[in-house]
Amino acid sequence: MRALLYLTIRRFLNSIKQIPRQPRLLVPYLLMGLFLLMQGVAFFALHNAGAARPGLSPAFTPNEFLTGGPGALIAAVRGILLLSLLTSIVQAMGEGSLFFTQSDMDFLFPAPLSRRAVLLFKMLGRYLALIFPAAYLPLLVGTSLLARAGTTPLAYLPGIFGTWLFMITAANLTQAALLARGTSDDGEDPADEARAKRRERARRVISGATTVLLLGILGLVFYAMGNRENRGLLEEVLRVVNSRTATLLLAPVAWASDLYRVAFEGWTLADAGRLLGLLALAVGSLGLLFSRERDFYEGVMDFSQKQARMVSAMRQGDAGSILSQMAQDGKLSAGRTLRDFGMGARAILWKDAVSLTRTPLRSWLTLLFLASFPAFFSLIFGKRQNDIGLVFWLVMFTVQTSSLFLLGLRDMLRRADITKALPVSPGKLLLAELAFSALQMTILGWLSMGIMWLLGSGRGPVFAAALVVFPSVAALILFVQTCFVLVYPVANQDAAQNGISGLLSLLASMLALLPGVIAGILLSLANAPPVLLGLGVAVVNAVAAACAFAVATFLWQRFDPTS
Amino acid sequence: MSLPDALRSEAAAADPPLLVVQGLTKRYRKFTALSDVSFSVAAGEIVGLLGPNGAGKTTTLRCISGIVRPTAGRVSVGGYDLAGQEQDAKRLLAFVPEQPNPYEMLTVWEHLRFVAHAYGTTDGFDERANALLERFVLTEKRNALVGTLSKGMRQKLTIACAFLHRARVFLFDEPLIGLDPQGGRELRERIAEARNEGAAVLVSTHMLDTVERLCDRIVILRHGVKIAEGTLDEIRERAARSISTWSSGDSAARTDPSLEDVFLTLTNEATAAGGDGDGSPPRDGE
Repeated sequence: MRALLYLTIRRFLNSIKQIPRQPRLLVPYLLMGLFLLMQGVAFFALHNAGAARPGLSPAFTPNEFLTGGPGALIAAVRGILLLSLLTSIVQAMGEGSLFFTQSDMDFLFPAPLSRRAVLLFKMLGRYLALIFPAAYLPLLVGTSLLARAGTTPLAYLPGIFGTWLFMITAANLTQAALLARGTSDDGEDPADEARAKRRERARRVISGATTVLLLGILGLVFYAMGNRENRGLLEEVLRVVNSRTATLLLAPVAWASDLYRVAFEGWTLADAGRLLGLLALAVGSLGLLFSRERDFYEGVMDFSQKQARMVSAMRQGDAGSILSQMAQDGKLSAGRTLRDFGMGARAILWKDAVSLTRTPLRSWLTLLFLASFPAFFSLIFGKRQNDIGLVFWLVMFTVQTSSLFLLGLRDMLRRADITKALPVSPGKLLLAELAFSALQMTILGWLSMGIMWLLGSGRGPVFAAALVVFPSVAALILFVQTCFVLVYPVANQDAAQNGISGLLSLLASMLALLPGVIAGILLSLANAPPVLLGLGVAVVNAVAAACAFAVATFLWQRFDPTS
Repeated sequence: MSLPDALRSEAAAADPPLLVVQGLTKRYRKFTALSDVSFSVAAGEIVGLLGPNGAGKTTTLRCISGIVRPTAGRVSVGGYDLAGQEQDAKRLLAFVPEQPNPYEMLTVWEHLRFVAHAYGTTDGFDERANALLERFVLTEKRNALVGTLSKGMRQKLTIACAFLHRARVFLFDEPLIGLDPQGGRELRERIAEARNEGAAVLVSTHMLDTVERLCDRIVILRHGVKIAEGTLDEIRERAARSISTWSSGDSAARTDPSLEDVFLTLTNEATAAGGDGDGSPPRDGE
């Protein structure tokens, strides 16, 4: 254990020492510090404003939930714990495991360290990481509540500790299940394969059900927040969650969340019992995990190596490696071959169309999930009739997700020495490579608008105009981002530097959209009908997109594959 | 065989082997990576582990280093059974993986210190670490972060770590890949020194010239099955017989085959004889 402590401490200290040498590493820490500072300032502002409301009843009612009473805190904590539990179940049924770096595998595994020590060392890191969600989310929800009750965040310590113990138990049990399965691959039991298939099917069903459930709850909460006059459904859901049956079935969840009552009511014998129960569960689950220590090295090796390759490929935007890994894992199938589109640039279009038909279903579902985000944002932040707000969220979201659609371009740049040698003009080649990305972005945008329409928002005239404008917006954003990809073809490993270049490309996209926005404002001042307004803006955007494409073509012509 | 070689072989035969592998078998569901592999490495002996891609070389080394548990069979290191006395056995082992992956956020010196802690050999650490740094031309990089080193230097550091704790059994997985000629020569000399100091060395490699120059004996695997074992002369003799039977090559190859001829002949012979283990396809990464 001494070697592991030495390793951890030295690595930590060296990473701190690196900060003055590379000040940009400070950027994410500064942003996080600023955010926490704002939270602290908000707390003390409320605390000193004399807004204290002592004697709050920790009732668990819809009213409390909607007005942010202690019941809301307990409901939020239960939600977090339930989510953590469901995630653990899904994870335990999957293929994941503890992640060890290649250095760990090369130096820790062959060393004369006990497997239990190595396992505990890795789990301790995970336990420490769990402190953040265990403490931060309840504090985020309940800070103003504490301020109004005239007490400090320290009053939440029993609740936070209980939440943390619960999360530790879930993590231990998940890992124990994964290790138990990861090490049962020995032997030639013919039933193994059938069992693995059954498990995979069950995992998919549970994952799907969990996703639907979570989306349903989220949708319900957003709906209730937007329609406070009609909260019957929410009352019903809260009644079920708060029922004796649910509390008994999910006793550890209730124990942990009820410990937050200590902040308002003080300690009782029942609270001590709850804490001891959670402690016993955490210790017991660790014992169960240790019982799987025997073969855990080989259980984690394959997963860790695969994971490291995927993370590295994702960081570098290496779509080829990601797809190759998916194919090796059996997540991609060859599918059918489409008929040829023709020669030259059409061959590139054909290649992209074939790739599109082989995109796994889960990627399409992820896309659909992403498409629903602007709709949720619009419900939280936008007024129901304020279409401009909805369109703003849509455009912001499109800019943010555009990098997803540029993976194909990055992949093409990796093979630029072959691509550039093709007898196709640079402009046609680039256009062919980007055509499907622009189409996918447009479909994603229209899907978002469809979801907004289904949720009852986004039915005004500006929204109709947006429907016409969106293809030009997608093309414009894509071409601007393409210029940045051609200037910085390889994504850097340094997160801070990536953040800065991402910020620059975001600014460039917003600037490129500005002429269209101005045209839209002028046309609306002139009382132009929505379709005309949409067409006008689309024309301005198309001109801007053509300019951006010309720049991108110029950069592609100058692109040096050896760089 | 030269006179010192012969003397060394006699001495090796007299001592009990430091590394004994008996009936080593490793299965992954329906795939058999290793099937009943047995061999031993005596003190003061270098054994080359040869085989085409997917032969099971890396799996063998991982089983011996205690990273992977065999499905069946036994590994003994310095008399300690790896299954029952794992930590005692591992204390005598040094494993050098194919790709160097030392911890990037440690300095070179700290990395050596960490390894000394892990193997519980901190006594006389400064002296030994300084000597190794000098030997592998890393003294100037002593306080540099590993992350700033070139691939070759990382390889040297990984090898230096292996020599830090006075191991009795060394396992090298393709040790010469990534090293410059100077580094390669340095490593070969260091391996030979370890042998002269009485260590048992198992080298898995594709580089047949290295095997010819360095190894006292070789073990050839194919699809997880041992297809040949012996001194170079013994294996050449066997291959020469096979070449005269199977090959239509020139007469010189028949009477004095190179190790490449031997390797190709034996692995082809195993295929022709159906000695492919379970006939499963090769696995990646081996």
